[in-house]
Amino acid sequence: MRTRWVDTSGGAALVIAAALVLVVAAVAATAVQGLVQPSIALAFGAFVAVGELIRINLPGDRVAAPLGAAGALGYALLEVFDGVATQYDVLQVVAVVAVGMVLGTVPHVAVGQPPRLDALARRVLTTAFAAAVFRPLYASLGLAGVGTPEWQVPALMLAVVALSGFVDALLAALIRSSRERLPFPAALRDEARAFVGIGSVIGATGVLIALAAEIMGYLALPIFAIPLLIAQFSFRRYAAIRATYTQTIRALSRVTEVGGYTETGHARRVSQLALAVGREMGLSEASLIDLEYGALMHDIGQLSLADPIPGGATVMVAPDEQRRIAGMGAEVIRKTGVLDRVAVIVECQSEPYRRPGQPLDAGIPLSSRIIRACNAYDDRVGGLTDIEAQLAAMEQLRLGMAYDYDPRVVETLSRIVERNSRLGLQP
Amino acid sequence: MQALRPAARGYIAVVIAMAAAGVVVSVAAALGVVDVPTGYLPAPGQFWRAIVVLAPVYVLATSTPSSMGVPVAMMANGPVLFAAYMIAGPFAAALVAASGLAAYTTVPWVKRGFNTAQFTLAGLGAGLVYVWLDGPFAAEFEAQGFGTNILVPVVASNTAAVVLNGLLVYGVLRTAEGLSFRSMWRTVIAGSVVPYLGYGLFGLLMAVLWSVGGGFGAMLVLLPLLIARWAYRQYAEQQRAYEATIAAMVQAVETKDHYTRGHSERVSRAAVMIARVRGMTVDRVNALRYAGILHDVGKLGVPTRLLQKTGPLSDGEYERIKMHPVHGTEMVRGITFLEEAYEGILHHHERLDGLGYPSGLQGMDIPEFARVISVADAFDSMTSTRSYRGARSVEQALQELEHWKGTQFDPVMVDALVAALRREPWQPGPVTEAVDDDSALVAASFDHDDPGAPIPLGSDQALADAADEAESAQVSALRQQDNA
Repeated sequence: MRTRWVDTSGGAALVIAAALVLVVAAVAATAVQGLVQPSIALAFGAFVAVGELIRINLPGDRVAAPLGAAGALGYALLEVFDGVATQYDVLQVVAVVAVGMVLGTVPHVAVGQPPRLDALARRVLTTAFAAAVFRPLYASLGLAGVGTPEWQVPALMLAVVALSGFVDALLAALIRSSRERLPFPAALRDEARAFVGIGSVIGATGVLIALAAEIMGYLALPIFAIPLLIAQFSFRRYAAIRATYTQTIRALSRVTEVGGYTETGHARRVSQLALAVGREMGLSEASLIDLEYGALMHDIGQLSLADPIPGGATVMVAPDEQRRIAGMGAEVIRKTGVLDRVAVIVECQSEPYRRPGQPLDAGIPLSSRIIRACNAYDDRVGGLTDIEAQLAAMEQLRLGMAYDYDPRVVETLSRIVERNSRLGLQP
Repeated sequence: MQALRPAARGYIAVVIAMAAAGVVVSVAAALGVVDVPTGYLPAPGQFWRAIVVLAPVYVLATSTPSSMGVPVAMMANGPVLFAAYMIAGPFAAALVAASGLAAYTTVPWVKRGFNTAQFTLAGLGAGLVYVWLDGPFAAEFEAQGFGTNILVPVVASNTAAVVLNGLLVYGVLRTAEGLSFRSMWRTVIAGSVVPYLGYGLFGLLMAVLWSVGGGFGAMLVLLPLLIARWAYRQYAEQQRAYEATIAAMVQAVETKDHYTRGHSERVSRAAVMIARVRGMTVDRVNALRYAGILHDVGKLGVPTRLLQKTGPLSDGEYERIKMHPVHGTEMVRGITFLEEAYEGILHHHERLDGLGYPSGLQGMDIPEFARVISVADAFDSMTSTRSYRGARSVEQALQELEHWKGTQFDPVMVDALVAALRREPWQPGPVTEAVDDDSALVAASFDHDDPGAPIPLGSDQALADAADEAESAQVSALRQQDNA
């Protein structure tokens, strides 16, 4: 598998610029023709602002404003409000939603948090997409007429919402793949997967608000916020415990350093390098988490050694000893009962990727091969930035490509090392 | 359920019979076999349509068990039941609830039968209240407008359901376990008010959506609920994984220091007991719990040789052991929710008189968490078996703590521990230790947590003074070896 990635550097800038142009046009147009049905616009605008105010952070450095996004979708899909047909156009939808979002973001900026313009831009574009597809379709299909089967409107709304969810995932993947140098398909897969849970609550609530407002009027907004808030609460707690978990694994990975078994920063450097390689090779987000944990804890087996290896560099000891250390590490990790995949990764890191006279050993996970190469590299280079040491270490890896180090991993690693040293980055 | 009292059996049979009668009447009314006044049945065709849509959803929602600590408020079948009478009247609610018997669960049949009967009667009763108060069917929502005309009957019928459900459950608990009405009120009724309010609200929303978007729209209401439940489960799973991981890592620490097995977990337990008596907030108690578990994690930074050393330690060696709180804090820094716990870990060997380590803080300059952990730590150390002495009883350990109160320990925390132990008993560490080859080696090493431990030098003036000439000579000899 050759790693190709669509060059989309500046993806975020592109998305933000597009949203900005659209918003300026929409606000101007709305200002010229005047706000249609201003009290409805005000209610939804305020709802969106509040939603933006209580945005949440999700795993994978994602920001979501479920309430705001649902309110925006609701406004985009709203055709009848308290028995009266709505008359505003797509541009007004964009203007009202954008103003609400900006107002809700001001307090975040005021307390020194980043505004996350890319996420805002995505929400504006997604809402605009939903309105631009749904409103003309609703009119041309004559769904407002009497005698339309009642399932048709919700079905159309759901279809539009699902489609705009896909658009949102596309935009998110575009931004992520350019920011984190990911292959675009891998980024799209991750974004789509991350979106399914929270996205379906947002979409369903948007549809529910738009439908229920026909009867309930303004009441639909606060009432349908309740189920969404319950969901948002669950998601936030989940995100918080995930973050704590990662922090804890990082902290515990330092035990070997504190104990004098490994050099300071070794585990962290190996995990960063391994993550960079894994990303570029298109690993999924879930596999990347396992990879990171495995890389952080790859030396934990050394704790069971009576005497530390000089410098902690496992690459310098005999293969049997390496295997024994890896096995003991896996044993410690397996005791958690929940990190079995990580234990396998740590266990296999001591194995060559193939043996003499045999084809590629399919039993060695890619993550183990990545950690093996990154560990060997860092054992030789450490925190040094000097080019000579880096080149020498890469040369050693290349020499070991016959059995020890997977050539594809070494290739990717060498690209990353080269890029980092060009940018003057560590490691 | 096997050893159910006859009274309880009889009671359950009566409830089930009443529910069965309710179902029969409902079917007869819906089929027009018996005459019912107008207002009890929706427009022709609506009744069976509602049953056809709602009953399967109800069965499905009942089939997903609410295990894994998912709050009852997130159950999805409640809303369907409440929606049923708003859409198609009390008889529809009874039939939908009765369909729950077909749900796929592992619940034993007696309990399942009773629960089904209980919801059938609650649904029927709530539906009747709704109708008596002129609550409109969903199909009339649009024409009537949305307001108190709907909300008042909804709240009233909801209340009726809570009461009816509470009474039915009370009957079982009364006949089976002799529960008093008072405690029933506290546990059963009070606990069901919030979930039932939620059911009522979601039921109303389903009815509203039914009126604009049909059955398809109504089902949409359940989606946020189901996903919230899914997210909650993921959270609960992750939380468990987190605890398991920490426990395993701490165990890895403890294998290094043989005789402290289970020590961290017990210190955590004692610290939480003290914190509860002191009335700390839930978040702080939680942070303290982890601080207790992780308080000795820095021992990994102390060479195993020293931790397991027999005989006296040189000053240099003792200095290294005294570094473990610093190492521990270095490690856990970066776990943001433990922020206050850092100080607890760093200073858990400080003493009120300023003779502790690593900073020699005095009195109330020592952070609160550290003062708690310090007491918990010493208490567990003393009630566990040590190679140089047997385990002390809880009373002896408390006497010892009293003795060091004010010089080493914060009197407030010692008193809190005493108060806590009066409320719940203490389970000390294993009293007898299997002496294998490894622990025989450890046999004479001292416990740095034990206030009366025989060997520590340097920091504890009193004990250093007590050390005899011979020992001092030995120490200086060791020191020379170290320097060489």
